[in-house]
Amino acid sequence: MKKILLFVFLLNGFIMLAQDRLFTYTYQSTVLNKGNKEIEVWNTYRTGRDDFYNRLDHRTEFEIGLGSKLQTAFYLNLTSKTSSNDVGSVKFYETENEISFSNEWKLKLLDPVANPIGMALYGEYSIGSKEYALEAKIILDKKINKFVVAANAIYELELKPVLEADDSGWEKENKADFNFACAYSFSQKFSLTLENSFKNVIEEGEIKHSALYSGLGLSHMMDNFWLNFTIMPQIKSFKGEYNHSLNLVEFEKVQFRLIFSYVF
Amino acid sequence: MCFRNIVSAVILILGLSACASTLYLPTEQDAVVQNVSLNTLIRGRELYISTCGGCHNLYLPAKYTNQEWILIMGKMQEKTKIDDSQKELITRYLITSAK
Ligand code: HEC
Repeated sequence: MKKILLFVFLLNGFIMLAQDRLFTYTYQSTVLNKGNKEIEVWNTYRTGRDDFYNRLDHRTEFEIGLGSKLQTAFYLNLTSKTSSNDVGSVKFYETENEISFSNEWKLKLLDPVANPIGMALYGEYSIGSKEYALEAKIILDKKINKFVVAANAIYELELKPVLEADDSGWEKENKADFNFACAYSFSQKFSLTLENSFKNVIEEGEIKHSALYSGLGLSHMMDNFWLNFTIMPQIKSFKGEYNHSLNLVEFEKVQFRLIFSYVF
Repeated sequence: MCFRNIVSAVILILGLSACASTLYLPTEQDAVVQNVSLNTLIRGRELYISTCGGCHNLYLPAKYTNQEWILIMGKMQEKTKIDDSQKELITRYLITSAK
Protein backbone atom coordinates (compact mmCIF):
# COMPACT_ATOMS: atom_id res chain seq x y z
CA MET A 1 0.00 0.00 0.00
CA LYS A 2 2.78 2.38 0.98
CA LYS A 3 4.54 1.59 -2.27
CA ILE A 4 1.43 2.42 -4.26
CA LEU A 5 1.01 5.71 -2.44
CA LEU A 6 4.65 6.54 -3.05
CA PHE A 7 4.24 5.69 -6.71
CA VAL A 8 1.15 7.88 -7.06
CA PHE A 9 2.95 10.66 -5.25
CA LEU A 10 5.99 10.42 -7.52
CA LEU A 11 3.81 10.23 -10.59
CA ASN A 12 2.04 13.40 -9.50
CA GLY A 13 5.34 15.11 -8.98
CA PHE A 14 6.55 14.20 -12.41
CA ILE A 15 3.36 14.89 -14.25
CA MET A 16 3.33 18.46 -15.38
CA LEU A 17 1.23 18.88 -18.45
CA ALA A 18 -0.03 17.15 -21.51
CA GLN A 19 -1.19 17.92 -24.99
CA ASP A 20 -4.89 17.75 -25.67
CA ARG A 21 -5.26 14.99 -28.13
CA LEU A 22 -8.87 13.93 -28.50
CA PHE A 23 -8.77 11.07 -30.97
CA THR A 24 -7.01 7.75 -31.18
CA TYR A 25 -6.75 7.25 -34.95
CA THR A 26 -6.96 10.81 -36.23
CA TYR A 27 -4.23 13.36 -35.61
CA GLN A 28 -4.68 17.06 -34.81
CA SER A 29 -2.35 19.87 -35.83
CA THR A 30 -1.03 20.86 -32.37
CA VAL A 31 2.73 20.76 -31.86
CA LEU A 32 4.51 20.96 -28.48
CA ASN A 33 6.40 24.14 -27.64
CA LYS A 34 10.16 24.12 -27.54
CA GLY A 35 11.37 22.09 -24.58
CA ASN A 36 8.00 20.55 -23.67
CA LYS A 37 8.05 16.76 -23.57
CA GLU A 38 5.37 14.15 -23.38
CA ILE A 39 5.02 10.39 -23.11
CA GLU A 40 2.16 8.55 -24.80
CA VAL A 41 1.31 4.90 -24.34
CA TRP A 42 -0.75 3.28 -27.10
CA ASN A 43 -2.51 -0.05 -27.03
CA THR A 44 -4.48 -1.46 -29.95
CA TYR A 45 -6.30 -4.75 -29.98
CA ARG A 46 -7.70 -6.13 -33.26
CA THR A 47 -9.76 -9.22 -33.67
CA GLY A 48 -12.09 -11.09 -36.01
CA ARG A 49 -11.02 -12.22 -39.45
CA ASP A 50 -12.34 -15.07 -41.56
CA ASP A 51 -9.87 -17.35 -39.85
CA PHE A 52 -8.85 -16.89 -36.25
CA TYR A 53 -6.88 -13.64 -35.85
CA ASN A 54 -5.88 -11.67 -32.77
CA ARG A 55 -3.38 -8.87 -32.78
CA LEU A 56 -2.01 -6.61 -30.05
CA ASP A 57 0.04 -3.53 -30.78
CA HIS A 58 1.78 -1.56 -28.15
CA ARG A 59 3.62 1.69 -28.77
CA THR A 60 5.49 3.86 -26.31
CA GLU A 61 6.04 7.31 -27.69
CA PHE A 62 8.29 10.09 -26.47
CA GLU A 63 7.49 13.53 -27.95
CA ILE A 64 9.65 16.64 -27.83
CA GLY A 65 8.85 20.17 -28.97
CA LEU A 66 11.76 21.64 -30.92
CA GLY A 67 10.47 25.18 -31.48
CA SER A 68 9.55 26.86 -34.76
CA LYS A 69 6.38 24.74 -34.77
CA LEU A 70 8.36 21.55 -35.19
CA GLN A 71 8.01 18.45 -33.06
CA THR A 72 9.70 15.08 -33.18
CA ALA A 73 8.85 11.79 -31.52
CA PHE A 74 10.42 8.39 -31.01
CA TYR A 75 8.43 5.21 -30.71
CA LEU A 76 9.19 1.72 -29.57
CA ASN A 77 6.61 -0.61 -31.12
CA LEU A 78 5.78 -4.15 -30.07
CA THR A 79 3.38 -6.27 -32.10
CA SER A 80 2.10 -9.75 -31.46
CA LYS A 81 -0.37 -11.48 -33.75
CA THR A 82 -1.83 -14.94 -33.57
CA SER A 83 -3.61 -16.43 -36.55
CA SER A 84 -4.73 -19.87 -37.59
CA ASN A 85 -2.77 -21.52 -40.34
CA ASP A 86 -3.10 -24.84 -42.12
CA VAL A 87 -0.81 -27.32 -43.80
CA GLY A 88 -2.93 -29.87 -45.66
CA SER A 89 -5.71 -30.75 -43.26
CA VAL A 90 -3.78 -29.83 -40.14
CA LYS A 91 -4.73 -26.51 -38.57
CA PHE A 92 -2.54 -24.76 -36.08
CA TYR A 93 -2.08 -21.41 -34.43
CA GLU A 94 0.87 -19.29 -35.31
CA THR A 95 2.11 -16.35 -33.26
CA GLU A 96 4.36 -13.75 -34.80
CA ASN A 97 6.11 -11.03 -32.84
CA GLU A 98 7.75 -7.94 -34.17
CA ILE A 99 9.70 -5.12 -32.61
CA SER A 100 10.25 -1.86 -34.40
CA PHE A 101 11.44 1.65 -33.86
CA SER A 102 9.83 4.74 -35.42
CA ASN A 103 10.71 8.38 -35.62
CA GLU A 104 8.12 11.02 -36.52
CA TRP A 105 8.42 14.66 -37.52
CA LYS A 106 5.50 17.04 -37.36
CA LEU A 107 5.41 20.61 -38.61
CA LYS A 108 2.49 22.90 -37.82
CA LEU A 109 1.64 25.31 -40.62
CA LEU A 110 -1.67 26.81 -39.52
CA ASP A 111 -3.50 27.05 -36.19
CA PRO A 112 -7.03 25.60 -35.81
CA VAL A 113 -8.27 28.63 -33.84
CA ALA A 114 -6.23 31.55 -35.14
CA ASN A 115 -6.41 30.60 -38.82
CA PRO A 116 -9.46 29.59 -40.82
CA ILE A 117 -8.19 26.03 -40.65
CA GLY A 118 -5.42 24.22 -38.74
CA MET A 119 -2.87 22.33 -40.78
CA ALA A 120 0.23 20.22 -40.16
CA LEU A 121 2.51 17.95 -42.16
CA TYR A 122 3.71 14.70 -40.73
CA GLY A 123 6.37 12.19 -41.74
CA GLU A 124 7.42 8.97 -40.05
CA TYR A 125 9.82 6.12 -40.77
CA SER A 126 9.93 2.75 -39.04
CA ILE A 127 12.65 0.17 -38.88
CA GLY A 128 11.49 -3.25 -37.78
CA SER A 129 12.84 -6.72 -37.35
CA LYS A 130 10.80 -7.86 -40.37
CA GLU A 131 9.80 -4.78 -42.30
CA TYR A 132 10.45 -1.12 -43.00
CA ALA A 133 7.79 1.55 -43.39
CA LEU A 134 7.46 5.16 -44.49
CA GLU A 135 4.39 7.22 -43.70
CA ALA A 136 3.26 10.70 -44.67
CA LYS A 137 0.19 12.57 -43.45
CA ILE A 138 -1.58 15.80 -44.14
CA ILE A 139 -3.47 16.89 -41.06
CA LEU A 140 -6.33 19.39 -41.11
CA ASP A 141 -8.41 20.44 -38.12
CA LYS A 142 -10.73 23.13 -36.86
CA LYS A 143 -12.14 24.10 -33.50
CA ILE A 144 -15.59 25.67 -33.47
CA ASN A 145 -17.06 26.32 -30.03
CA LYS A 146 -17.42 22.93 -28.40
CA PHE A 147 -16.63 20.97 -31.53
CA VAL A 148 -13.31 19.89 -32.96
CA VAL A 149 -13.22 18.36 -36.44
CA ALA A 150 -10.11 16.79 -37.91
CA ALA A 151 -9.23 15.07 -41.18
CA ASN A 152 -6.08 13.21 -42.18
CA ALA A 153 -4.91 11.91 -45.56
CA ILE A 154 -2.31 9.20 -44.96
CA TYR A 155 -0.01 7.39 -47.34
CA GLU A 156 2.15 4.50 -46.20
CA LEU A 157 4.74 2.38 -47.95
CA GLU A 158 5.71 -0.93 -46.38
CA LEU A 159 8.74 -2.90 -47.50
CA LYS A 160 9.29 -6.55 -46.63
CA PRO A 161 12.18 -8.69 -47.83
CA VAL A 162 11.10 -11.40 -50.28
CA LEU A 163 12.25 -14.86 -49.32
CA GLU A 164 11.68 -16.91 -52.49
CA ALA A 165 14.81 -18.50 -53.94
CA ASP A 166 14.45 -17.09 -57.44
CA ASP A 167 13.21 -13.69 -56.43
CA SER A 168 15.21 -11.68 -53.96
CA GLY A 169 14.26 -8.08 -53.36
CA TRP A 170 11.51 -6.20 -51.66
CA GLU A 171 7.80 -6.77 -51.53
CA LYS A 172 6.07 -3.41 -51.52
CA GLU A 173 2.68 -2.64 -50.07
CA ASN A 174 1.04 0.76 -50.39
CA LYS A 175 -1.68 1.95 -48.08
CA ALA A 176 -3.82 5.04 -48.46
CA ASP A 177 -6.10 5.93 -45.55
CA PHE A 178 -8.46 8.82 -44.94
CA ASN A 179 -9.53 9.62 -41.42
CA PHE A 180 -12.27 11.98 -40.43
CA ALA A 181 -13.17 12.69 -36.83
CA CYS A 182 -15.38 14.94 -34.78
CA ALA A 183 -15.36 15.63 -31.04
CA TYR A 184 -17.89 17.33 -28.82
CA SER A 185 -16.65 18.48 -25.43
CA PHE A 186 -19.46 18.31 -22.93
CA SER A 187 -17.26 19.53 -20.09
CA GLN A 188 -13.68 20.77 -19.58
CA LYS A 189 -12.74 17.19 -18.80
CA PHE A 190 -14.76 14.97 -21.13
CA SER A 191 -15.31 14.79 -24.87
CA LEU A 192 -17.31 12.36 -26.93
CA THR A 193 -15.68 11.44 -30.22
CA LEU A 194 -16.73 9.93 -33.53
CA GLU A 195 -13.99 8.59 -35.77
CA ASN A 196 -14.07 7.22 -39.29
CA SER A 197 -11.22 5.55 -41.05
CA PHE A 198 -11.37 4.62 -44.72
CA LYS A 199 -8.57 2.11 -45.32
CA ASN A 200 -7.14 1.02 -48.66
CA VAL A 201 -4.41 -1.42 -49.59
CA ILE A 202 -2.87 -0.91 -53.01
CA GLU A 203 -0.88 -3.57 -54.84
CA GLU A 204 0.61 -3.13 -58.28
CA GLY A 205 -1.21 0.14 -58.76
CA GLU A 206 -4.61 -1.29 -57.97
CA ILE A 207 -6.81 -1.10 -54.88
CA LYS A 208 -6.93 -4.67 -53.57
CA HIS A 209 -8.63 -4.09 -50.24
CA SER A 210 -10.82 -1.29 -49.06
CA ALA A 211 -13.01 -0.87 -46.00
CA LEU A 212 -14.59 1.74 -43.76
CA TYR A 213 -14.30 1.68 -39.99
CA SER A 214 -16.45 3.97 -37.82
CA GLY A 215 -16.59 4.14 -34.10
CA LEU A 216 -17.31 6.10 -30.97
CA GLY A 217 -14.85 7.07 -28.32
CA LEU A 218 -14.34 8.98 -25.15
CA SER A 219 -11.61 11.42 -24.25
CA HIS A 220 -10.83 12.32 -20.67
CA MET A 221 -8.50 15.17 -19.87
CA MET A 222 -7.06 15.99 -16.50
CA ASP A 223 -4.55 18.66 -15.55
CA ASN A 224 -1.54 16.73 -16.64
CA PHE A 225 -2.88 13.59 -18.06
CA TRP A 226 -5.25 12.47 -20.78
CA LEU A 227 -6.79 9.20 -21.81
CA ASN A 228 -8.60 8.38 -25.06
CA PHE A 229 -10.48 5.24 -25.92
CA THR A 230 -12.18 4.25 -29.19
CA ILE A 231 -14.03 1.18 -30.42
CA MET A 232 -13.80 0.91 -34.21
CA PRO A 233 -15.92 -1.75 -35.88
CA GLN A 234 -15.63 -2.34 -39.61
CA ILE A 235 -18.81 -0.94 -41.14
CA LYS A 236 -18.50 -1.81 -44.80
CA SER A 237 -16.08 -3.24 -47.30
CA PHE A 238 -15.64 -1.83 -50.79
CA LYS A 239 -13.02 -4.19 -52.16
CA GLY A 240 -11.62 -7.60 -51.35
CA GLU A 241 -14.54 -8.97 -49.32
CA TYR A 242 -15.31 -12.63 -49.45
CA ASN A 243 -18.71 -14.04 -48.54
CA HIS A 244 -19.57 -11.03 -46.34
CA SER A 245 -20.36 -7.35 -46.55
CA LEU A 246 -17.12 -6.93 -44.60
CA ASN A 247 -13.56 -7.53 -45.72
CA LEU A 248 -12.31 -10.07 -43.17
CA VAL A 249 -9.35 -11.16 -45.28
CA GLU A 250 -7.18 -8.07 -44.88
CA PHE A 251 -9.00 -6.26 -42.07
CA GLU A 252 -10.56 -7.18 -38.74
CA LYS A 253 -14.15 -6.96 -37.58
CA VAL A 254 -13.23 -4.61 -34.79
CA GLN A 255 -10.33 -2.66 -33.33
CA PHE A 256 -10.03 -1.13 -29.87
CA ARG A 257 -7.51 1.55 -29.08
CA LEU A 258 -6.52 3.13 -25.78
CA ILE A 259 -3.96 5.91 -25.53
CA PHE A 260 -2.94 7.64 -22.35
CA SER A 261 -0.36 10.29 -21.88
CA TYR A 262 1.56 12.30 -19.34
CA VAL A 263 4.61 14.47 -19.11
CA PHE A 264 7.39 13.99 -16.64
CA MET B 1 -18.64 5.99 -55.23
CA CYS B 2 -18.23 6.03 -51.49
CA PHE B 3 -14.69 7.35 -51.57
CA ARG B 4 -15.81 10.47 -53.44
CA ASN B 5 -18.65 11.01 -50.97
CA ILE B 6 -16.31 10.85 -48.04
CA VAL B 7 -13.87 13.25 -49.64
CA SER B 8 -16.62 15.71 -50.56
CA ALA B 9 -18.11 15.50 -47.06
CA VAL B 10 -14.72 16.27 -45.54
CA ILE B 11 -14.15 19.19 -47.90
CA LEU B 12 -17.65 20.51 -47.21
CA ILE B 13 -17.30 20.34 -43.43
CA LEU B 14 -13.83 21.83 -43.42
CA GLY B 15 -15.01 24.46 -45.89
CA LEU B 16 -17.95 25.41 -43.69
CA SER B 17 -15.77 25.52 -40.63
CA ALA B 18 -13.37 27.84 -42.42
CA CYS B 19 -16.12 30.48 -42.35
CA ALA B 20 -16.44 30.21 -38.57
CA SER B 21 -15.03 32.80 -36.19
CA THR B 22 -11.29 33.23 -35.97
CA LEU B 23 -9.12 34.86 -33.37
CA TYR B 24 -9.79 38.53 -32.61
CA LEU B 25 -7.67 41.03 -34.57
CA PRO B 26 -6.89 44.22 -32.63
CA THR B 27 -7.81 47.60 -34.12
CA GLU B 28 -6.42 51.16 -33.89
CA GLN B 29 -9.21 51.91 -31.45
CA ASP B 30 -8.07 49.08 -29.11
CA ALA B 31 -4.55 50.50 -29.21
CA VAL B 32 -5.84 53.93 -28.14
CA VAL B 33 -7.93 52.43 -25.32
CA GLN B 34 -5.00 50.31 -24.08
CA ASN B 35 -2.59 53.19 -24.54
CA VAL B 36 -0.09 51.08 -26.50
CA SER B 37 0.81 50.91 -30.18
CA LEU B 38 -1.25 48.72 -32.48
CA ASN B 39 1.95 46.87 -33.26
CA THR B 40 2.28 45.85 -29.61
CA LEU B 41 -1.17 44.28 -29.69
CA ILE B 42 -0.47 42.52 -32.97
CA ARG B 43 2.79 41.14 -31.62
CA GLY B 44 0.90 39.95 -28.53
CA ARG B 45 -1.54 38.12 -30.77
CA GLU B 46 1.27 36.46 -32.71
CA LEU B 47 2.99 35.41 -29.51
CA TYR B 48 -0.28 34.06 -28.17
CA ILE B 49 -0.69 31.91 -31.30
CA SER B 50 2.87 30.64 -31.33
CA THR B 51 3.26 29.89 -27.61
CA CYS B 52 -0.19 29.01 -26.33
CA GLY B 53 -1.53 26.62 -28.97
CA GLY B 54 0.96 23.80 -28.39
CA CYS B 55 -0.69 21.86 -25.57
CA HIS B 56 -4.31 22.76 -26.10
CA ASN B 57 -6.27 24.59 -28.74
CA LEU B 58 -6.26 28.35 -28.22
CA TYR B 59 -9.03 29.76 -26.06
CA LEU B 60 -10.87 32.75 -27.49
CA PRO B 61 -10.07 35.92 -25.50
CA ALA B 62 -13.79 36.59 -24.98
CA LYS B 63 -14.12 33.39 -22.99
CA TYR B 64 -12.65 34.96 -19.84
CA THR B 65 -12.70 38.32 -18.05
CA ASN B 66 -9.63 40.55 -17.62
CA GLN B 67 -9.18 39.33 -14.05
CA GLU B 68 -9.45 35.71 -15.12
CA TRP B 69 -6.90 36.18 -17.91
CA ILE B 70 -4.42 37.74 -15.51
CA LEU B 71 -4.77 34.74 -13.17
CA ILE B 72 -4.57 32.24 -16.04
CA MET B 73 -1.47 33.93 -17.47
CA GLY B 74 0.20 33.58 -14.08
CA LYS B 75 -0.48 29.85 -14.15
CA MET B 76 0.37 29.31 -17.83
CA GLN B 77 3.62 31.26 -17.73
CA GLU B 78 5.23 28.40 -15.79
CA LYS B 79 4.14 25.84 -18.35
CA THR B 80 5.17 27.88 -21.37
CA LYS B 81 8.48 29.13 -20.01
CA ILE B 82 7.93 32.63 -21.43
CA ASP B 83 9.59 35.63 -19.81
CA ASP B 84 7.76 38.51 -18.14
CA SER B 85 7.86 40.82 -21.16
CA GLN B 86 6.34 38.13 -23.39
CA LYS B 87 3.72 37.46 -20.73
CA GLU B 88 2.91 41.17 -20.67
CA LEU B 89 2.49 41.27 -24.45
CA ILE B 90 0.16 38.26 -24.52
CA THR B 91 -1.88 39.55 -21.57
CA ARG B 92 -2.29 42.96 -23.27
CA TYR B 93 -3.63 41.31 -26.36
CA LEU B 94 -5.97 38.97 -24.46
CA ILE B 95 -7.58 41.71 -22.40
CA THR B 96 -8.36 43.89 -25.42
CA SER B 97 -11.22 41.60 -26.29
CA ALA B 98 -11.83 39.86 -22.95
CA LYS B 99 -15.34 39.17 -21.69
C1 HEC C 1 2.95 22.99 -21.92
C2 HEC C 1 1.52 22.92 -22.08
C3 HEC C 1 0.74 24.23 -22.05
C4 HEC C 1 1.05 25.41 -22.65
C5 HEC C 1 2.24 25.74 -23.53
C6 HEC C 1 -0.03 26.33 -22.31
N1 HEC C 1 -0.98 25.70 -21.57
FE1 HEC C 1 -2.77 26.47 -20.99
N2 HEC C 1 -3.25 24.71 -20.10
C7 HEC C 1 -2.42 23.60 -20.02
C8 HEC C 1 -3.07 22.57 -19.21
C9 HEC C 1 -2.49 21.21 -18.86
C10 HEC C 1 -4.31 23.12 -18.81
C11 HEC C 1 -5.41 22.48 -17.95
C12 HEC C 1 -5.05 22.28 -16.51
C13 HEC C 1 -4.62 23.48 -15.76
O1 HEC C 1 -5.41 24.43 -15.58
O2 HEC C 1 -3.47 23.48 -15.27
C14 HEC C 1 -4.41 24.43 -19.40
C15 HEC C 1 -5.50 25.27 -19.28
C16 HEC C 1 -5.61 26.50 -19.85
C17 HEC C 1 -6.81 27.33 -19.83
C18 HEC C 1 -8.16 26.94 -19.25
C19 HEC C 1 -8.43 27.58 -17.95
C20 HEC C 1 -7.77 26.91 -16.81
O3 HEC C 1 -7.10 27.59 -16.02
O4 HEC C 1 -7.88 25.67 -16.69
C21 HEC C 1 -6.50 28.50 -20.46
C22 HEC C 1 -7.43 29.67 -20.71
C23 HEC C 1 -5.11 28.42 -20.89
N3 HEC C 1 -4.61 27.17 -20.51
C24 HEC C 1 -4.42 29.44 -21.54
C25 HEC C 1 -3.10 29.34 -21.93
C26 HEC C 1 -2.32 30.44 -22.42
C27 HEC C 1 -2.82 31.88 -22.57
C28 HEC C 1 -1.10 29.96 -22.75
C29 HEC C 1 0.09 30.72 -23.30
C30 HEC C 1 0.66 31.70 -22.43
C31 HEC C 1 -1.11 28.52 -22.45
N4 HEC C 1 -2.33 28.20 -21.94
C32 HEC C 1 -0.06 27.66 -22.71
C33 HEC C 1 -1.21 23.43 -20.64
C34 HEC C 1 -0.54 24.41 -21.37
